[in-house]
Amino acid sequence: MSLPATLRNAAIILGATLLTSPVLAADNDIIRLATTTSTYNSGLLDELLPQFEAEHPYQVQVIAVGTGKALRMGQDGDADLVMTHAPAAEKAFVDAGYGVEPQGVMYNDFVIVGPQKDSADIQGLEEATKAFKQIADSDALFISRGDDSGTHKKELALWQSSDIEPGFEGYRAAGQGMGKVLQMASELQGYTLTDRGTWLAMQNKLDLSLLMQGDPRLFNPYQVILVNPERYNDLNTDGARAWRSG
Amino acid sequence: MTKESMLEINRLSHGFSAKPLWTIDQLHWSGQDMVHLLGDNGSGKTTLLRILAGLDAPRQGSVSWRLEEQWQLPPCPAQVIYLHQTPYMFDTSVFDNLRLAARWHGLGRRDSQMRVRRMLHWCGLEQQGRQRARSLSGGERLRLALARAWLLQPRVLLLDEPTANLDAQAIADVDSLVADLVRAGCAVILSAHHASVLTERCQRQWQLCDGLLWESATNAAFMAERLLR
Amino acid sequence: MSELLDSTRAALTLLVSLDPDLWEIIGVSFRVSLTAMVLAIPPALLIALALARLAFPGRWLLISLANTLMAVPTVVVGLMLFMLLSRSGPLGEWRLLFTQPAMVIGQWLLAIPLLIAMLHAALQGVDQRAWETARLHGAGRVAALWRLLGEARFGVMAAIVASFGRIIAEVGSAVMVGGNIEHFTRNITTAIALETLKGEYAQGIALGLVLLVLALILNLMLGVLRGRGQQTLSS
Repeated sequence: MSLPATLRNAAIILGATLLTSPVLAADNDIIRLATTTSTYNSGLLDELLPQFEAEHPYQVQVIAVGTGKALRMGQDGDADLVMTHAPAAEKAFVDAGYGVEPQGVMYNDFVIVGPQKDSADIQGLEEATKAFKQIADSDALFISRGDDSGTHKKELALWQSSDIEPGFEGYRAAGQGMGKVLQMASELQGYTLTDRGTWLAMQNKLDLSLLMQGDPRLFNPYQVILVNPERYNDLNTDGARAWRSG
Repeated sequence: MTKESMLEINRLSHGFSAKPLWTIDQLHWSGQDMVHLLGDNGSGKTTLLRILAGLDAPRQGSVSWRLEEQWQLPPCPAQVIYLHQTPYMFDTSVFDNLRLAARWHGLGRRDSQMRVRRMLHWCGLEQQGRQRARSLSGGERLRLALARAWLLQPRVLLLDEPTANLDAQAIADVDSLVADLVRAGCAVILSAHHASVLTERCQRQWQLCDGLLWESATNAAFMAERLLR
Repeated sequence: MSELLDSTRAALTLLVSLDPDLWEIIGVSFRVSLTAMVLAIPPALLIALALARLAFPGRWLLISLANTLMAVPTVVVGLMLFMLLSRSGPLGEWRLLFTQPAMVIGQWLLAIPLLIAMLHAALQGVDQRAWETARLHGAGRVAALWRLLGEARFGVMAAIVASFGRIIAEVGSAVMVGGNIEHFTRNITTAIALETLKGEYAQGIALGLVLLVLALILNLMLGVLRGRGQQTLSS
């Protein structure tokens, strides 16, 4: 997503949040959550926010930016907590003392979707590698993101652990985004690996079925990290902790 | 005159406004005597020739040619050929300008070649066969156009102001070609504003004047008839 | 700056070393665009000849339509074709989406209006005397039309060159109905548009150079043809 669009989204969230805030809300009723645009687009927060705000006396302001920027906001004390899915960068963030108490959240895991008739017969399998093997062996179509994205890297890692060279007869590298690739898989009746968020958002428009999920290899770990309260004294760490524990 | 007519014009008129440019009530032409069509600029000479060739449709009236046994309406391709004031040169070589006409006439490859070479020789452009037709001078273009038409052995040639922009030598060259055509039995109508050796060859005058066509025999015709007696 | 230089050097290496991936992409572009041209020229010629020689009702509407369609963005053509060829679309049974034939159809649709408009202009520019002279010298209608094409040949070639230049450089339709699938429908423009996002700058530059050289050649040809064409029409 381009930067202006990101800013616009952030502004919309902020605006909406402010409008619905009680007029006399005290400062420590507000939790500032910096997260990535992909997290925001995944719909995770839409699911969590209303429930949280109903159960707790806090308002959550979500700032959706790039991963680097989100962590930077935590470093600068512009957020009370950050929520990202970039393990290496998160580790550095914690090691540098900018954040404390990292905690994993399992969400937006990957799933394998494909045509209803499932010619590779992967439905009900428990191992993603087995599913990949069967897809490759059955000469079914597999649409790859092919764009060096996180999802593409995940897919390549899965092929590697399945001992299959991606490039078999039915392998198609699209070099495009998840939405386009899902559309392509639907049109060509092929399989693909997708994150659950995009799948949920698009499944109604696709002629595809969710065929395989739940293998730990398909998990996509998000981390919620509190911004180190020792660095700034005006953080709403209590609120952040409440959010983290749901 | 007792000779049968080759051209008949009936109540022919043409013009773009309400008043016709000219009206020709009745006209017969045997095709035996070469016609000099005269008239001031804008009197409608070109239009008359184009109607005779079938390139334009008259507003009223009819034109018919008897080239074989039957009367027929123009256009009569390859039989009644009109040459534009500046004849159109196809954007090919001189040779191919002739060969195109030969092929359209249905001649085979070898017959075409032979006929084209004869025509090149006849019009004196043997040396320029490979040259682009459009690089020829005005006189050469007219000679090529005459050769291209004569290659088809048409019954009638309609020449529209052929001498307008030519010098005396070029006119003389063209005149000798036209003389050949007439001798070979080709009927010719020539429109010309100025007198020249070509117009002197004509035995009949059609003059467009005040919207009417006046017909007369020329001195040449008179002399010829007298000599025959 | 040094990155630009490095990428350019890498690009030239790719080109000179006949990198198979790179040349495969170039091959897809040429195969698709040349096929589209071969399929577009005959109908466009027929329509242009009809427009130039026949006075039928709706003639000016058709000319205006061709001129308008010339300006339609390629993505719009791509979108319309996508919806037609989609599994849920009316032509979904053909199973053409994300194949080279789909790209050919898209480029065919883009080439046709440009070809018609330019061919019509070229034929319109031929002197009326050409048709009259041919007909009076015994040429049938077909032979006379063929002669008109001969007289307008430089304009006709210019139309073909310009149309080819348009479709080989278009990306909107190719990416929508082709899908940029590696080894199948990835062509020069979709590769530049999407692969550079992955940081494949060298490949992008190499492909860009190919398009640039092609554009240069096509424009030189156009320049020569225009010159010859004007020379032809004026004499």
